[in-house]
Amino acid sequence: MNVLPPRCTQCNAELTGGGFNQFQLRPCPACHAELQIEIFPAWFRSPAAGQAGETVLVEGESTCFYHPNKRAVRPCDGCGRFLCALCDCELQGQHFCPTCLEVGRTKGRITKLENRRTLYDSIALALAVWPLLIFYFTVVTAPMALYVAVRYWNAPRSVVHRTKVRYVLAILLASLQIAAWCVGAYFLIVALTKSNG
Amino acid sequence: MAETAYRRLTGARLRRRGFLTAFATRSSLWLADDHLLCVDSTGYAEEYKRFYFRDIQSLTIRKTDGLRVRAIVFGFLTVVCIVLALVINDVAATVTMGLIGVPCLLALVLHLALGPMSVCHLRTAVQVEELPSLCRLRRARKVLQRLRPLIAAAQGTLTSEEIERQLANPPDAPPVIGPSPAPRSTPPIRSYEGRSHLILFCLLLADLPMTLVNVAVKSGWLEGASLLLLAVTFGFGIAALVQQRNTDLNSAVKCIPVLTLICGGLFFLASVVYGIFTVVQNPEAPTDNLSSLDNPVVLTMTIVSTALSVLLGAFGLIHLRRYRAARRAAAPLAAIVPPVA
Repeated sequence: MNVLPPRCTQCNAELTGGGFNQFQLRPCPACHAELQIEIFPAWFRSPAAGQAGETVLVEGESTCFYHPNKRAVRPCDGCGRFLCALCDCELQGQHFCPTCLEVGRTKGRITKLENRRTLYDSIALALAVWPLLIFYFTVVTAPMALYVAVRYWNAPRSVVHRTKVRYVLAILLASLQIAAWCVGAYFLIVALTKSNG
Repeated sequence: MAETAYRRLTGARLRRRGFLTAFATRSSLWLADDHLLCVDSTGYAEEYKRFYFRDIQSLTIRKTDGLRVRAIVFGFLTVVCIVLALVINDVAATVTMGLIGVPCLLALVLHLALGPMSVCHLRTAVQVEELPSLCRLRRARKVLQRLRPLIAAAQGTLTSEEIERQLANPPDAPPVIGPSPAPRSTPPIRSYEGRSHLILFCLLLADLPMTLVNVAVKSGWLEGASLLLLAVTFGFGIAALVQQRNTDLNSAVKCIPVLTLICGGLFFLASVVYGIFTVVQNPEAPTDNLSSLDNPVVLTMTIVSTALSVLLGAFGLIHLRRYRAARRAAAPLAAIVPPVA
């Protein structure tokens, strides 16, 4: 439980003397920085005590997959293994074992745990747009942009809503660039053939 | 699992990680039904931090001096550019000063319109997180107004009297097993011990004799030495900026490295732009005219930049000396040890 007063975010001095949850700035007594502080009930709440898991008392009783001497209280919602109170990891109403939780986080199966995503649509669009500054690079980057856009078309995009417009633009631009190179190569070959003939 | 629907709370703002950052990270805030999402984006990847409403302990908004500093810098640059554009009777110079002055004026107006700047910190049981997208006081207060009922729905509410009562008379709490997580705090303020500012101010003052020698003796070596002096000044300006972080130097001294870098950079850019403009306009004109002080534009820019350097150097030295004198006066007298009989 946090019973210490809040601290100034500039000089770290304790802020005593009240003035919290008021819609105005109050000066820090040490550095005189103007602060508005909003404190919520969680500040004074004790963290919930963890459970150790009950020992099996009756032979034949279901036991935890990871602790054979502990009584199982529920199955894992990910893999179905029985879990004791210690292994039970509750997440937004669902119960997982530590393994499923870690796999869900690293493989992105539990989106609420996902803390990183690569934006392939932005990468594809950047590959299609930026090399236009020095057009000769597009002979390499246009196929790369096309590949990235097609390969990762169904990959998860940003967690916040995002359409596929970047993919579409990248494919259009890359296709135009490839077409331009093909036309340019055709005329170059024709010109070389005529000059040799 | 269905993806959560998010509503945008703020636009993206830069999250500054240290003085020199390789990749700019833009941070934005989004709202879900039961949590706040902070998205840090580099453009090619995103990182997410979720703050559930039931876990938020406090939100602190601190007003900063950012608006005042920016207003001074942009206002000063705008005035200098306008004065130069009016005084110098040359199309190229007017265009150059306009190219610098107009964006500075627009930036000044924009900053004044957006209002005071702020820094916002969100605290939970295990972290104290800065929310960079709440960099304006007005916006931070609007977001706080929006979040308050959502957090109250998850946790309940507390009046300021109840908070003061609980802080003054804490109820018996269960013993904490293991060390409680210490909130990340800002580094303590320390006294300034560096030399970069002194060297920087001396270099700024050295600009005057260097300019006078350049005027008297026209030599390519001296022009090279001037450029070297400029480069070294920039270097010490950056070093001073790094050394003055989290020190008790007064703000008058702290702003001089910033002004030096900005003004020096702008004058250097203006001279390059003017040079390119002149060469493009008259490709057959001798290029000696660009470095000659007979050119009114070059002469004016030289006089103004030298005057600014001397002013900044003198101002900085005076205030640095005052700071050192004040620190010496505040230091406790050394104990006088009586001689052993």
